[in-house]
Amino acid sequence: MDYVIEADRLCKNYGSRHRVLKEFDIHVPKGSIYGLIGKNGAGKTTFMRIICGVQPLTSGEFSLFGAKSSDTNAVRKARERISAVIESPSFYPHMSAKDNLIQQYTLLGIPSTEGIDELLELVGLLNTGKKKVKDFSLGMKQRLGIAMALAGSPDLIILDEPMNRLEPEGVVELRETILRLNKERDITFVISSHILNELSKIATDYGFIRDGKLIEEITARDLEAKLSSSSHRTLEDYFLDLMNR
Amino acid sequence: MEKLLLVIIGILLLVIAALIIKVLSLRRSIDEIIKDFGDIIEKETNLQIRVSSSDPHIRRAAIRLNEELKKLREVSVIYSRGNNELKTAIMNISHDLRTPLTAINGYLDLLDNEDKSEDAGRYLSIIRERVEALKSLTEELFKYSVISSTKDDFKPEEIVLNSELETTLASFYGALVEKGIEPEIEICDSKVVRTLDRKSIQRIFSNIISNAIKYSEGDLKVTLDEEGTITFSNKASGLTPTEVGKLFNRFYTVESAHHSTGLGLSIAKLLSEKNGGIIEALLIEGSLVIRISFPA
Amino acid sequence: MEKLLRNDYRCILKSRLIPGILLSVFLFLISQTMNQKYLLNVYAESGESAAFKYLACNLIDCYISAFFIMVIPSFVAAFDFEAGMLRNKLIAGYSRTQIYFSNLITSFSLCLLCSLLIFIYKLIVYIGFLTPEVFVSLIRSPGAAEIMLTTILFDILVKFALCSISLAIAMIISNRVISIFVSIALMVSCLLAGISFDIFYEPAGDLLTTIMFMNNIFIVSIAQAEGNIPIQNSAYYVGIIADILVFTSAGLFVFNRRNYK
Repeated sequence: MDYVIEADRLCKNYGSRHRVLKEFDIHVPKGSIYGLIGKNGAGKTTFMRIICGVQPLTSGEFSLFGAKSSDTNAVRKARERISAVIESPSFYPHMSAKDNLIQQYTLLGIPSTEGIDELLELVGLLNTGKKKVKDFSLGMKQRLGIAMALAGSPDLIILDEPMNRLEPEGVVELRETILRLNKERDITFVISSHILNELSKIATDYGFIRDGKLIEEITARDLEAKLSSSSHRTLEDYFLDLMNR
Repeated sequence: MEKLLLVIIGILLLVIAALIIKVLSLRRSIDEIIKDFGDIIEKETNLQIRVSSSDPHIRRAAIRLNEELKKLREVSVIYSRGNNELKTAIMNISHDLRTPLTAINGYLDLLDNEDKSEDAGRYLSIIRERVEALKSLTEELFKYSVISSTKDDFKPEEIVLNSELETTLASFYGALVEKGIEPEIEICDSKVVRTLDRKSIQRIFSNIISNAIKYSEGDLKVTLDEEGTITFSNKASGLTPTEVGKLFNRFYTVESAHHSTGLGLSIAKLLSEKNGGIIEALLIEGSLVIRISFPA
Repeated sequence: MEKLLRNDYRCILKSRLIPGILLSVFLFLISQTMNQKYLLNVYAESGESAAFKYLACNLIDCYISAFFIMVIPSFVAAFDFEAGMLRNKLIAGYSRTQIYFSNLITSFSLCLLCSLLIFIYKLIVYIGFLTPEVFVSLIRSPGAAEIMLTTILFDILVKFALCSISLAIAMIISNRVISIFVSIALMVSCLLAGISFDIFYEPAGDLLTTIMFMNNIFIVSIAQAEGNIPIQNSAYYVGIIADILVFTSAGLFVFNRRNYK
């Protein structure tokens, strides 16, 4: 099995007291839509930050597209293939959506600005014209974040609770977009979410995280089998049970 | 006058410096593009070539290359998705075929116990034979699709090829005796150790040996040398070079055999390659030689 | 790195920062115009070569631009800290050091722009207030070109030092408003320290206080503005370069270590 992300006993401490990730192991298969499920503060966002290089890890190691975290140059090269929207989307508030995308293209060094209109259309922001991003609604900002994440033709996209701020149509659209991109471009997704219902519609694999540890990793098919053969009816029941065990 | 000359020389020097910088920067951009291109082609990735320079010619070159890379990538994704779907379908179908076949066998057993005419008995045994053939084909098909689609159960470990070969040969002792074959075995004294998946190796050897037994004209020679090359040779007077070339093709069976599916050797090839080895079939002086090598 | 620079420059160009700088410099200068006229009369009466020295210094005038230089880097750094653009750059694969230096280069370019504006403005004013003959005779005075050149170079060095100090503060304190406040407070307190040194101490005495005195970049800039060009004294160069290195490394160190900005 080709794994895009693998972590082995990953630990992250903020100061000596606050241990966020403890012996964290994870295996994200290539081409999957991996749902990372856990309570607030369980360590989902910290894990994403470490993979993206926004924060250093304390101990343990991970590998990204086969590049080990101990080999800084290889990991940096591997990070060219990932993009992420972590916590809130990042953009320049004083510029329009299109300008922001041009900015992102410049930052990454993409030679042509041709794909930008296509991207804007994909996320439904084509008609915003010169409107500055600081005047966007939360949902629009979220959509721009996803467009920016797509800008570099990534192989892996990490999304931190993307459905949070979207209106219902937005959620449906996002779901369709993720499925389409996963199928057409073989993009792996790692999505953390609270909205288990939405996640259960698209995820192919699940990772349940509690108190900084990944307590269970299971494919969607196996989970379905488990659910139908046990007393749990929905993903939520399963999750709640896991959390409270 | 002198001052003017100095100024002109100064300007020329600046121009030369600027040109040198430009040339160096173009060189670096070209190197960048070549490197990126090489990386992208090697891996299965959506990435496109990125440039640091703002020179329009460099950009245009990168854009053009990116267009082609994009097309290549689209085709590759469609292919691999299609391929995977096909494999999954085969796996499912061959799995599903077992059930009715088992049922057929069961009823054949029942039929056996009934009173029947001689002709009926004969027909029954033919049917049973055919069902067995169908069953083994389905088995082979299923195993083939499982091997080519998953990487589970693949545990490379340090194994000694000598002992693996000997064990496998020993397990075919009965079959060899039955066919009256006395195998000629030349295994080197020094232990040939490689890091390979044990089950694959056992499978490869058994497939090739059972293939050799099926087609053998009475002889079999097995060798293992210190460099990790294993050969299985047997006389095959009816074999042409073309047929030898096609031996590893899926479902290719040479005419003269019955109880066979064409998959045994294909599976051997798949597994050899999966373990990093090279397998080839050669026709040397009327003998079929199958040679596998596992580099150190 | 070029991509990062291109990104940062484009961001600044698309924002209202440059018009803002232009406007505030212009307003500030206009308010200074009467002061300039008085100073010019003083110079005109103080003899040729000395006059040119004063003129050269005043044209460059670190004094006024110091204020802008202490403020500009906070604005530039703010683009990274607001709306999570720093995170974006990190994910794109740039190291924190690269981001720091990119901000340094862009802030310094803006500071130079500032200085250039002040220079041009003053040139116009001087040509306006002084009669052309006086101006031309000042320029033709012996060693004028040399003085001008060395003053400009020295001035750029001083401005770079001020810029790196201010950027270090901005990158450590990732809040635009607070870092502006701290930078200006630093400038004012150093000015006051400098002035009190001037009044109460003979710098040539105690070695430590001499070093402290000479190392104080603001004192240097005042001295320059007043026409005591300390170009001849190499200790000043050492002090300025030490300032640049210390502040930049401190800024880099803290910026690299800070957990999640």
